[in-house]
Amino acid sequence: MIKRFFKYLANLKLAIIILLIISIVISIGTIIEQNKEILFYQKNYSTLIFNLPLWKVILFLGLNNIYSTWWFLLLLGILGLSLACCTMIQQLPTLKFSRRYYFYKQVNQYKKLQIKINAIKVFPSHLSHTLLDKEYSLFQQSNSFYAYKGLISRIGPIVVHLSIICVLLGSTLGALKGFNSQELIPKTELFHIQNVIKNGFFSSIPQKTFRVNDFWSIYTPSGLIKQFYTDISILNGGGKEIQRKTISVNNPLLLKDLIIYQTDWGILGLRLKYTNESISKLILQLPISKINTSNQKIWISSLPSVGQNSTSFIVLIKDNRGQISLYNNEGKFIKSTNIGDMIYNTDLTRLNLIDIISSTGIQIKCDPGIQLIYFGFFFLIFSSLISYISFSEFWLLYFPFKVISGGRTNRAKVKYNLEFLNFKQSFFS
Amino acid sequence: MSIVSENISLVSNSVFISCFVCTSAYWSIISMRDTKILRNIAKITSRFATLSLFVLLTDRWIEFGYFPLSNLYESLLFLSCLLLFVYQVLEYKIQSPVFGGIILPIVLFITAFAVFKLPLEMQKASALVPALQSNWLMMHVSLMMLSYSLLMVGSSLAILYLVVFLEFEDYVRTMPLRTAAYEKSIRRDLGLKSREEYLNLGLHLIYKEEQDIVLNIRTNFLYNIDSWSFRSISLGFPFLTIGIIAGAVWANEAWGSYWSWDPKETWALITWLNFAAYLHVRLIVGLNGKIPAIIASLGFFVVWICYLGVNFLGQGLHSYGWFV
Repeated sequence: MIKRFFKYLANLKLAIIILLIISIVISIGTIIEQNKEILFYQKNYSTLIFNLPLWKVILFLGLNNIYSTWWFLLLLGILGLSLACCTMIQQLPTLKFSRRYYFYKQVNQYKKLQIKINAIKVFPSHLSHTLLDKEYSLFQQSNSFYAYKGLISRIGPIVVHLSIICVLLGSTLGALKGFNSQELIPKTELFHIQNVIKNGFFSSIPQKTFRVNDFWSIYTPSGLIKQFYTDISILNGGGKEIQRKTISVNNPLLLKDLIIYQTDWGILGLRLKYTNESISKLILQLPISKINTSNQKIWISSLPSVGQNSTSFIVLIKDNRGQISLYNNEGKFIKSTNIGDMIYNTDLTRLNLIDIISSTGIQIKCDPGIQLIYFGFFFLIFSSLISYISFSEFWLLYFPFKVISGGRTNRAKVKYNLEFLNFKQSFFS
Repeated sequence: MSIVSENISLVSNSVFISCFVCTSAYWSIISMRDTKILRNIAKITSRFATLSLFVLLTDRWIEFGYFPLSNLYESLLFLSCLLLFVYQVLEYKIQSPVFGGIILPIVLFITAFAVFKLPLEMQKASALVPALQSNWLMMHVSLMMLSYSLLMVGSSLAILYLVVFLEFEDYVRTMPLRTAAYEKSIRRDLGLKSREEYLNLGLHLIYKEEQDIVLNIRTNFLYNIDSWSFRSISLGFPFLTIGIIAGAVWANEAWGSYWSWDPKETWALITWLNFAAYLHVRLIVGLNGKIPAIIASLGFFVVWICYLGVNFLGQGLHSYGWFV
């Protein structure tokens, strides 16, 4: 019963149907926006289907989060199982079969071959020379020949399947034991992993301490951001530095079990120095908020008037180059100020811009499945190329006045036909 | 500024015009008659288009210092250049106007889209965004492009196969009818009363021979298209595999996850699954012809959605050529 079930799973037709279903399901995931709030679906999918609003159907089937619903994961599991069954039940036995060289000693065995020759006489030494010249492995037993080449291509498809299974297992392991967290850290601050956005059932989050030593960005002459860097340290329990690296986008810090990525950046506030005649010095921190425009990051804040003679400003920051733009309350541009410069200076008061407090977006990830996945990737590349090599076979049986011969191949049939023409020269008919 | 980048619109327009001329030359060869002049026109214009696209892309590479695949405009031109290269190879291997007649309209469409439809800001080269500053860019994107071009050629040949095959099926089905019609007209023209007299003339044998020749030519043609479609798909598929893997490894370095179910990734996977099904049907089941051709021609649309259609969705991480 179980064996019949596995045999059914190994069926190619079933596998192709599963591939088709998976394709359709994941394409649905690109049409319906994923991981939005319920309100979004209520607003955008309000059409009625059989008196049922579409958004309810979407939420019920988990189409809002299709790539991690139970039935999609089940589908992937069935695919993996089908691959494994196919490898165990169909591929491995043929490998065993083709390793044992076997001779065709009955004439009717030649009937089902793709290419056949009937002749009167064969010149065995000439034929074996041709076969060996074409890199065949040749076996001879009394009056029959068997030759093959390209045995490695038989392993190719098996390794393809095994490496896909590796990738699936690796991603399962990663989903169960890994985690992913995102932190937005002001520069010079210490932090722990706190804002975990994704974790699995068996994940454990290490209590390491990190410190952002510095954060800076570089820009192209036209003012576009070129790259951003974070100088990050890992501290031990006593606060001593263990490791330090400057990370940037495309250049993460690899630890034994964690990977630390540079992802985003932001501005948290402005630090100002207020000098008054009566109060000698006052350091202020001005909060700032981000405006989401279509493709540009802009931060905005307002600088209230202090005292009677001073004016109030609207502060606008476009990038992390240490410059702020000041506008008056009507929205008219007044001036740009750099770090360290004076914002205004009257007889009584002075205001200086000391610093722009920037923060760096750090992503910390742990994925114990990644080795297995890379292992699978590595073999997938090679085996997908090997699978195209032809496995060709050649048989011959000869009697005093009758020779019968034939062969078959599984990939390059035209090339094999040409090879066979060469073999024909050793026959006399 | 080099001469090419100063006159970029001139270069791209001339590419478009030469593709147009080449397409019309091939189509008139196929539909009307095969003359040497038309062949030469097609040859020269296609060579010219290939060369000028190649020069344009190389010039961008030298001038801006990175591989010319950073935005949609460059990738469209890169794809047309690759398609033209594939076509040149096929043309060199088999001197059949069919490949030109199929591939050049696709190139024509791509260049027209790139030159006339894309806004001017999207045509300009701009600095690479931080996420693209990696050596993986060259590896991943060029492999994906190469596989797209090979799969597009293979699947468009499969579509051609299907069209010709359906017509051929129809032709074979109506053959007895036409034989009967021929017999009737001959008997009427020569005033033969009985069937015996007609058969004694032996005209039906000549007719049958002619029909056999026609059938033979058409079967050969179908066989060739099928086998070339299979060859280019089976070459494109490993490139797609390696390209997706390179992308996954890169994404693990730049985005922090090797697979994030981004629409582009998802459609690349659908393409992969589709052609995996094609190869299984073809190699393991051992079917040739109609059923694999249906799967492959489905793949044509899937590749196009993956390459261009996803950009219209305007969501996800591959945000290098959106229209929104």
